[in-house]
Amino acid sequence: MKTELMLKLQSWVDGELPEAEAARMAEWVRTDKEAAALVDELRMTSQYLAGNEPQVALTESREFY
Amino acid sequence: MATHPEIPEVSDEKLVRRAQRGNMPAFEELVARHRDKIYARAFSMMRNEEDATDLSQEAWVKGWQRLKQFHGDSSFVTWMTRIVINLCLDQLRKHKRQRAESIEHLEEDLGGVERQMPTVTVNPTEGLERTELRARIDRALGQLSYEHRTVLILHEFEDLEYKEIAKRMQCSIGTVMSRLFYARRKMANLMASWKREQQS
Repeated sequence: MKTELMLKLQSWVDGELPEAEAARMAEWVRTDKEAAALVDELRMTSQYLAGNEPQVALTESREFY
Repeated sequence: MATHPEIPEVSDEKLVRRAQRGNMPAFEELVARHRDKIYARAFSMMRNEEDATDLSQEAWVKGWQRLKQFHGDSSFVTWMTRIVINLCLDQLRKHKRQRAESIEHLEEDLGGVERQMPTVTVNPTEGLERTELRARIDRALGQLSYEHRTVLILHEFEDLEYKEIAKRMQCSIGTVMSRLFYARRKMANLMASWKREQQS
């Protein structure tokens, strides 16, 4: 798959495509296994990142500020 | 900084209004409530405790100085997060100018190693406790270049659109798209490789 198409798929996943183009992408993903697999991976990655930003606590005391 | 036991019941909005009138204890309470989140965002981007501490502290100073410019269009913590992100981006740009191109950048420029990565079909986070999941995400973020890490943080944790990320990172939307694509694919493959290691 060409890089340009991969990036368009990603834009579709992120809701960044205009409506008409988004509809064409949806149709392509329905019929192309490779595209569907890539979409699944991109969505899965976003899903497990959401709400799971690493938690790091500041070790300095409040007096530091 | 003193603790103010009478303040914790008060909402952020009220504390901001008090702080805007020059009430320092109200601002100190806002710092106490949100300093870990602001620090965590700085650390995610900088991957360095010293820089993260300095920049989060600088963000609070700027927050105090610019408090009258805050009109409540977003939450106070969102506004503060944007301040620390901008400071981190400025700092990272300075670092970038000072260092040589890494091998990773060269590979990226040469034509997309992300295209050669296998597609991950099984969820590599299945069965992981949240603490372990966050630890792995942190480890993976640490293996990305700052450009890839930053675009991922701005998109996935800050929910910014491509256009806004491009503006903040001072690059084109196309660059944002390719960096985000690489970062996600690299993240997926690292997480999958650690899952395989765990199972073997």
